Amino acid sequence: MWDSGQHRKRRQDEKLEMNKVWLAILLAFTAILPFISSSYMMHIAVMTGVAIIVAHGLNILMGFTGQVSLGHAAFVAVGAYTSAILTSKAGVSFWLALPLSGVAAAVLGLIVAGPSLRLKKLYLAIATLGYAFIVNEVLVYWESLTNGTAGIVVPQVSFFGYALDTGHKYYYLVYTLVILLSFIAYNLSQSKLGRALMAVRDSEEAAQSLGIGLVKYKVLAFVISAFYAGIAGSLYAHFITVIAPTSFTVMLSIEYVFMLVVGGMGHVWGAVLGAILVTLLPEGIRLFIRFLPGWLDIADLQQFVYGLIVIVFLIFEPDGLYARWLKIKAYLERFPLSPRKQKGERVWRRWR
Amino acid sequence: MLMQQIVSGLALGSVYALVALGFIIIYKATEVLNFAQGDMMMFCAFINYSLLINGSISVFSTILITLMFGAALGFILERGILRPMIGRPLFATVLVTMGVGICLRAIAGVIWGHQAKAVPEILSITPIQVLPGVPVSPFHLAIFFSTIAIVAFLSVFFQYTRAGTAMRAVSMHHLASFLMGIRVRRIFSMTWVISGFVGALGGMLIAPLTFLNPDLGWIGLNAFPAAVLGGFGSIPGAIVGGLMMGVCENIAGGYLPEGIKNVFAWIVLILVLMIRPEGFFGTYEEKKV
Amino acid sequence: MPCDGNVTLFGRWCPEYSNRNSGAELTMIPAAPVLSADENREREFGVLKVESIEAYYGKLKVLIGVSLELTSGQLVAVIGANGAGKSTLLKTIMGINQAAHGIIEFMGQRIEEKDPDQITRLGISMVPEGRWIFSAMTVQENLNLGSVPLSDKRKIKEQLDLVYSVFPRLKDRSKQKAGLLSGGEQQMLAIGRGLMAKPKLLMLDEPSLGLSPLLIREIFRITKEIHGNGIPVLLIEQNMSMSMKIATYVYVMETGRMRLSGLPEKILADQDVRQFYLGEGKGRYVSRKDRWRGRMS
Repeated sequence: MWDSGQHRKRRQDEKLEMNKVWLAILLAFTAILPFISSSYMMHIAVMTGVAIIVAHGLNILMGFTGQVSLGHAAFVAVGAYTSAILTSKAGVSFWLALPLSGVAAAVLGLIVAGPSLRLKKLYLAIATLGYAFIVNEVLVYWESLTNGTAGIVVPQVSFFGYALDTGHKYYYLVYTLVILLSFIAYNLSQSKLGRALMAVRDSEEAAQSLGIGLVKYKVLAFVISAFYAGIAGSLYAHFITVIAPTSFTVMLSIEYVFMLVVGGMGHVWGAVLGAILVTLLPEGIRLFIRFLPGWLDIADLQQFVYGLIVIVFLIFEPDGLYARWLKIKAYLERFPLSPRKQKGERVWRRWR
Repeated sequence: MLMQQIVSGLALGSVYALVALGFIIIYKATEVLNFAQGDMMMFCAFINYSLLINGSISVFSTILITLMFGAALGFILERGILRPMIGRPLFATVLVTMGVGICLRAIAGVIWGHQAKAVPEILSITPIQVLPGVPVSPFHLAIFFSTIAIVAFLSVFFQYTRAGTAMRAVSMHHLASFLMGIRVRRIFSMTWVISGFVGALGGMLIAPLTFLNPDLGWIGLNAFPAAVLGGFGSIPGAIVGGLMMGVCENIAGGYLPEGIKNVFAWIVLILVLMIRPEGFFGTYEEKKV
Repeated sequence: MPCDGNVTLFGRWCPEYSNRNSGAELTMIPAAPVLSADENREREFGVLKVESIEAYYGKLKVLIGVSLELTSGQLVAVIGANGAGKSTLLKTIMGINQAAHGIIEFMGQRIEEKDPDQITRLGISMVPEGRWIFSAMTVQENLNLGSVPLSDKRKIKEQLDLVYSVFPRLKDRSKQKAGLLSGGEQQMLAIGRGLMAKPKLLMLDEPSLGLSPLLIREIFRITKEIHGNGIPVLLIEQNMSMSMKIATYVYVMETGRMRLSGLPEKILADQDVRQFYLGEGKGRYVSRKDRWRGRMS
């Protein structure tokens, strides 16, 4: 029962070993996925990868720093349009446009962060919703640059003359970035910066009293988060090849938030899980709905089932999948023993 | 021209005010931001439409049934979906209301389809001269006065009845209300019922102004700026915020380039929040460390 | 005779409920009173019985096998230092925290699974630490909210008059916003609000917190008066000396456990208690000179 220090150290090492093994399996699976899947599945996989990147960004903002954003689609849109305009109109190479689109989104993040610093939860949520509406409206009406509602045709990417024109090829580009950005997000969560962000989330007053500057860290969170979204937007644009303002609606922003909550806010793995689940969900529903009579409007039914699953999921798993996974893991670790009965304080903490 | 825009702006603003009122009543008591408010409104508007098209009952009972339906919808949603979320993370709860909105929109799509429908006019929309130089349509007048009526009714209810006082108490301090013996969960239900009722009224009033389709629910989002302008706390704030938003939007639509009208409310919102982060009528609760 | 329906502030005046210190009334033996159903239950089961409850804050165990009993007519004081778990005990009784183990019985009825509003309706009024008054409402509205468990309008009016007669200051300010009251007045309002429900048990959580000595004395006098009028009181206090004077039975809590219990005399006689809570006893006093030399006397 009482571990000696050495004992505990060894157990931690074992755990670390196990984690490494799991990670290796996951990476190997990611690497060989294209060899065993159709182009339709590849399409979904690429979209999932894009979603994972955005979810990571949003997680840094919402999960780590506690700043709600209901307008993340706007950052994605700015990234996508920057990349599209640079490559199609200015003839810039994709490899330069990709980081630039991240930067462009980050600049928007900087602009948005300024007025948002003083806003608290609810007001911030609504203000970010407002930014998203405004950005979308700008995309529609700034026709000379964005072609308005008609949208822009985006050239495909080539890698030293090798065209990444199919999902199978594009997949590797996306997932290289996914792994890289996931790694950065994970390290961020373990770093001093990450801890400062979490301090801001947990209590602004306490963080301030520890000498953590709110302005700096909130702005930083917005900028990093927007950068992620911008990169994802660029990847999205060059994969879909036609983008229009209607691709980046409020619904998309809300979907990103769904991802975080479904996966488990504040955990890097939570963001990944949530992004995968929420992106796969409509596809799963589509598969399922084929068996139903045709007089039901497929799109509506799909929406309905989607909403219903989200509701049911949140009712039973409001802390997200990752939290459930942690519970399962804790249960397995002490398997023969029954789980500890948690019946202490009623959860009324949020009730002032 | 300007006068007419102000008048129709006031009518539109009244509807915004009603939706904002729905938001605020729920938010104050339960701290949940109900993203489904607009969709509840849309759904009730469709119910009203179906009843009117059917035409077998009088207009008056149509209105009555729609209002009852709105209240029942609020009750069912709270009991079935929001009640299990009590005590859960707030954000998950808010997302649940978004899910509810998606579902309502989908159901409306299945039942009534996505074609925009023109709602039969109960009152004429063509303006008549009420005051010299100010043409007002009877329908706009009806919107305006029914909003005033419901606000007056709610104010009296909150100020002078036992249930209303209990609701105010719940909005101030949940635990203290528990200790008073107030059945807080029942109060939560009541707020949803009232919101549903107000939403039904809003739906009936806005449907003839625009066309009716399942996307009407998004208008609910336009009421957010109104609610925030009013400080997201007080009923008069919501009303003033809503009316202001309606008038601003109409005038902006008349004089500013196209494209600005749709987001004008949001631009105003962000400008206001930059100056006063708590809205015009809001009070900022300084958090104790 | 005092007990034959002589209605006073809080119902029938029954000297047997009254404090042991008010000796004069105690000598009067009441004629067999006609008891209501509630009073019968009170006789049979006692008012409150807490049996070895445990409570957690997250993973932290804050109550460890705490037991407590309160029979009718008592003023029980629970004393202890900061963080001993006194407030948690009250919150657990009230259902604000849920007990992980143990039994809580109120007049023969198990209440440990119930919600705070149900418990309030059963007849326990809690005056929380920090008062939790509705500061944006008027004094009158606050008091009205206290009477939510009562349904009879006449009873509410009666109760309101009673509260106003105990706290005449509140009557003067009945139309004012409660947030504008002074600390002492707010405490009185909180107690008055608790009394509005016509409670069968009043629980006070540190009523003297943050008040001036004069007001503390006033609050204790009122507490004693309430008890003297037949309402059992469970008092949580840090102010040892004052609560000893009015309590009929005392529990001492320490780091989540009940350390001691007994009549105030017994507690006062305890060496440790004298030492820790009253700052008396041998060996605690270190003279200045000795401290200067760095040694204990």
